[in-house]
Amino acid sequence: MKDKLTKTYSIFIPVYKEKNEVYANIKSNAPAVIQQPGKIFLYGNYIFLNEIDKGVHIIDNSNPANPVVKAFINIPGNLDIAVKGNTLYADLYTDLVVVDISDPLQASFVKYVPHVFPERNYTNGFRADSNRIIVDWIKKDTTVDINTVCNSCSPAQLADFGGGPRGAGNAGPSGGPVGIAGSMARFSIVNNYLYTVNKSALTSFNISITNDPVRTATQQVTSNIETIYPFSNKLFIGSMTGMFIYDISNPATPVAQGQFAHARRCDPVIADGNYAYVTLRNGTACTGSTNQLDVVNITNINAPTLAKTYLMTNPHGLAKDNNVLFICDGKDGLKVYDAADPLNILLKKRVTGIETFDAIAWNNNLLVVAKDGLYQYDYSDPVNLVQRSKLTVNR
Amino acid sequence: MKKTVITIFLFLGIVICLHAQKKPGFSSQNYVGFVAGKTDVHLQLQTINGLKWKSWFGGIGAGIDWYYLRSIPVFASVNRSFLQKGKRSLLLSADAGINFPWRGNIYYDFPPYDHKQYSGLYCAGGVGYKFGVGKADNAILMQLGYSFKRLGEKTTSVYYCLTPPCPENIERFDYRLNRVSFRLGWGF
Repeated sequence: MKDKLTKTYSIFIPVYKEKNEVYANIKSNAPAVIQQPGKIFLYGNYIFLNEIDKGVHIIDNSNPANPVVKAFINIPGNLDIAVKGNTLYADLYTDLVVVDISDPLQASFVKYVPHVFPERNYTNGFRADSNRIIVDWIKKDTTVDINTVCNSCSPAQLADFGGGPRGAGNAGPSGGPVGIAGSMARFSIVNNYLYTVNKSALTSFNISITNDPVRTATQQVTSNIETIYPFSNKLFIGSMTGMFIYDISNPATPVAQGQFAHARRCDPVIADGNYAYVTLRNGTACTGSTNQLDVVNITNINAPTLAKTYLMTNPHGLAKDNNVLFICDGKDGLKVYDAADPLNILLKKRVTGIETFDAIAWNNNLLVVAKDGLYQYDYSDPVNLVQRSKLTVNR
Repeated sequence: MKKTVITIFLFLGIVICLHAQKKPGFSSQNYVGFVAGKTDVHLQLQTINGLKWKSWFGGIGAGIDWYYLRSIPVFASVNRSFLQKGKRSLLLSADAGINFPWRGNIYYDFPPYDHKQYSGLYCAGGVGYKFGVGKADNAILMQLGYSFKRLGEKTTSVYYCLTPPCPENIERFDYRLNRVSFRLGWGF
């Protein structure tokens, strides 16, 4: 008597292109279907939406009730974006690329800065070579016979799929207007400086000449950095082991100032006034078992202290506008809090039925990246959020 | 598979209804035994309850099957006695139904891991021996035959990433298990 035991899984085969060909294609191409939305960046009437590992959707958001996808910039390996003036900064695996978006619908490649994100030279078990770049993956379903119990028959086929840094940026004047990034950003622009974080280091670029970033400093921060958020001449860096605060009075060379350690978790962070808000979640490499919002007192920037902890379900990104705090609580949806008193935030509204990841709150318009699309809400009355639109993901 | 099960249930229903006019009586068969395949040898427990008429028995059965992945077979069963000599006779039996997974669906928060098990076909057939005991219809039952069960599993794990939704790795498992079945029971 013989049993027939089979396992079906997917394998991914890389598709390579020559570097020159890839750079030539970094321009505004025809709109593409949104399949796997990543980070968002709001810039004037445009939303720049990262398509994970593929590029950037340019969305005309003149009318939030009817956003229109106008173009797609092919940037393989892209996870993070930031915009200043007429320039878009994006990562292309290990490199930082500079794209001229004077006319967002006629974007063009300007230059690249190599080896800014060194850990991203290894993806899905494949290492890109010096002349070619992985631009896509071909998925193939495979069925094999297995003759052992399932505990011993699950080889990981997608080691570190899409792993590595992913992110976007934030605000500041001078040298051209700057956009607004979500809290999961790993790029941040403050005045004439672009700050990027990779897995362990903070790098500063002088972007006084926006299309010619000049690296001014790279310094080790900690391991497993996740996000960067600028506030009041400080950078708040979220890592799996804690929140680090850097002073950027000298913007070319940020100086470590304070830190707030926590158990190993994933933790986007934002700051506002005397408090920083840190969401901690578990899952995969995030480890741990708690999901919570930590409100951290940063009155003494050199010695932040935990002010209060609120239990959550699986919080990801967050956004705050005045006293309204928005938390993307994963499968638990979008939560809206009255945070007038940070030590007693009150849940005012919960939007269920969507799996939310990150948000930008600006001018009574809330952008929310969810698993199934990009939502926009009118939050002029936070208790009664009104959905303005949804750009649906087509997987 | 659903059509097969429905057909069998209909057949059983018709048989039982027809025989109901000739005063069939309640009967129960309860087994303990093992199923042996290439993977291993495991225990099985079954109870089948239904109607008996002359040499026929038809009923609905349920049990626990520990082979490979523990499951709960729910099935229609029919068997017939033949070559009867006194209280002894040979038996021919056939079962068909659905095999439900014992665990169903489980989600682990850490690491995020979704594990689902799916039901599948259950069928069995065999020959046996019936040995009457006492004055009533009590009998010791022994059966040897073939048993098939099918189960499916799907595991979904999420890879680490900093920009959700993180990519998923999905693996689907299909188990078609062929076994020799031996069961020893008590009928009344």
